[in-house]
Formats: sequence, C-alpha cells, structure tokens
Amino acid sequence: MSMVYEQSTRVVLVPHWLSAADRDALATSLEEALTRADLPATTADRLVDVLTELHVARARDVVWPSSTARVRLVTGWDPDTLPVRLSAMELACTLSLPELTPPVRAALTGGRSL
Amino acid sequence: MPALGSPLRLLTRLDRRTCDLDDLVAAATRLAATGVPGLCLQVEDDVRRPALLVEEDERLWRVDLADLADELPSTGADLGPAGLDRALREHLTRRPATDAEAARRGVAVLAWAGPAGDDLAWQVAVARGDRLVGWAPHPFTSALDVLAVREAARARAADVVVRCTVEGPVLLLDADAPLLATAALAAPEQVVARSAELGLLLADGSVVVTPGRPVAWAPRAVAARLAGEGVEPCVLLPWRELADLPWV
Repeated sequence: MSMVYEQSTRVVLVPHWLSAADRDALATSLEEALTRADLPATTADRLVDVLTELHVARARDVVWPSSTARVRLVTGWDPDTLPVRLSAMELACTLSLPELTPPVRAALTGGRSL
Repeated sequence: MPALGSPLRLLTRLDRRTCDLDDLVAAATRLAATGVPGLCLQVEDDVRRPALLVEEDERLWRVDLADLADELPSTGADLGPAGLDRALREHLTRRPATDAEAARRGVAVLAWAGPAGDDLAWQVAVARGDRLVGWAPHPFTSALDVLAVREAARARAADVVVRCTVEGPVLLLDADAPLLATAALAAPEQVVARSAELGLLLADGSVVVTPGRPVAWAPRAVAARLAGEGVEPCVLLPWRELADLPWV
C-alpha cells in the first residue's frame, strides 16, 4: 500500500507528427531491427510497443478525426499526417537503432516544420 | 489607414438576417391548415409566446416559435415563405418518438446518460432522415410494453450491417449510418466469434465507445493506449460489461 502523499507517476506519451511515408519507413526499420539477434529484450519490447502505436494512431484517427483534422487545417499538413504518441523510453529505443533512416530520425527529433 | 477592402468586408459580416416572428407564425398556421399525415397540429397564437403544438398518438410536443425564429437565421435557410415552410417541416423531424414508432423501427444504441452525462446507457433510437431521435417511455406505458420495445430494439441492433476494419491489433466497427455504429455492441459475442475467424484475439479485450463514432475493440493494454489522454470523451470498458449497462 503506497503512502497517501506519494504521487503515482504516469507515463507521459508525447505526440510526434509523422507522415505516411515516415510511418512506413519507421515500421520497416523496426521490423528489421527486431530480426537482429543482438537486440536487448527490453528494447525489443519497447519496439513492439512502437509498432502497436503506429496501428493505434491510425485507429485513433478513424474514431476521433476532428482534433487531428483541426491541427492539419491550421498547419496545412497532408491529410495522412498523424500524431504517434511515444513515451520517452520508446523514443530513446527507436532513436538508438542504426537502421533508422535520416528523414524519420529528423521527423522524430526535430518535429515537423512542413 | 486601413485598406479599402476591410471596412466593406466588415459590413457584410455585420449584416444579420432576422426571422420575423409574424412570418413564422403565418407559416405555422399554413402548415397546420395543410396538415401533416399522422400528426395533429395546432397553433397557439399568443402575442408574447406563440407556439406550435404537435400531437402524435400519445405524445404532445410544444415548439416555441420565438426560439425557432432565433435559431433559423443561423442555419442559413431561406427566410421567404417557402423557405419557412420547408424549415418548419424539417423541424418537425425532431419531434419525440412515439411508442408505436419505437416498437416498429427502434434500434438499440449506446448514448450518454446519467446525472453528469458521462455514463453510458442503452437507448432505443429511431432514425428519421439523417438524424437519430431517442425514445423515452411515456409515463403511461406499461412496463411489459417497455420491455418488449427494448428487446425488439436489441434484436434489430444485432441485425445492423457493421463494417469491420482491422488495424493491427485493433478492430474498428463502423456502420453505414455513423450514429448507428454502437448498435453492433448489442450482440458482442457475434463480433468475438467473427474476430476469431479473422485471427484477432479479442476475447479478453476492451471496448472504446464514443456514442456517435466508430467503436474500437482491442486487447486491454492497447485499448488503454488508444483511449488515454484523448480530448474527446469516451468510455473504456471490458466487452462483457456491455450487456449490463442500464437503459435510459
């Protein structure tokens, strides 16, 4: 039983806006990395979570399209740009992969500007 | 000095159309004179609060024409006599559903209910045009009739054609009419069996429900990830609890 005054920290998921091409490239590099033999098990778990999150982002857009549509209206991005919500550990595991292509790496670190 | 274009644009935006209450009362009188099949219309021509009384079987609905006159200009409808007639007829589709109509055509869907409006409950809804009207049992309806209507609505909801889309581990249920998407949850066992054929393991899954939007069905952790920190209100619950939700 935890003390009353202890705050239970929740994992914060930060949205990263990725276009369809970025998401496909990310999925390909994740699948390549998962077939590697020397990948640590914890990293593999988190990469599987990122793969799930790519599907979940599309499902979220089907069920609640209006909030992402509003953002896309203001910024003028493509209609298939979706926010992918990653925790800090998942982002770190993804960025540590050498298979990650430079455009996806830039999209995940710098944020979209076009 | 502002450019010449901007003051002119401001003037057009300030031009507010108003709907004259006398015109609306005249249109209501014309409608009552022509009559609508199945309804009994009566215009209450009070100077301050004119109203249109719509009576259908056991339901009596009162349309406050002053409020309607305030709402009409913002809908962009034509405010001439023909336009007002059309607007009144279209407003009549919002009348409450009668017991007979609910028994004949009602479909069970999930809707917001409860004192704070954030609990889910089953409700019998009747489709009118592209709108769904919820049915509330009349105080004089017998309990047996209410149960019969609810059972018939649940059976009809299980028959609604549902489009299943698989998105990784998530199953998305959608219907042709978006407001009827939650009707598929009236028979969740069918969906579980179907998803087993498609290769998804949803027997332990949770359902993310937003009334009026497609339903997402996924294993518990994935569903929590889908629903977490969303802006729109939604409810996440295990699918076995769907049958236990109360009725409105």
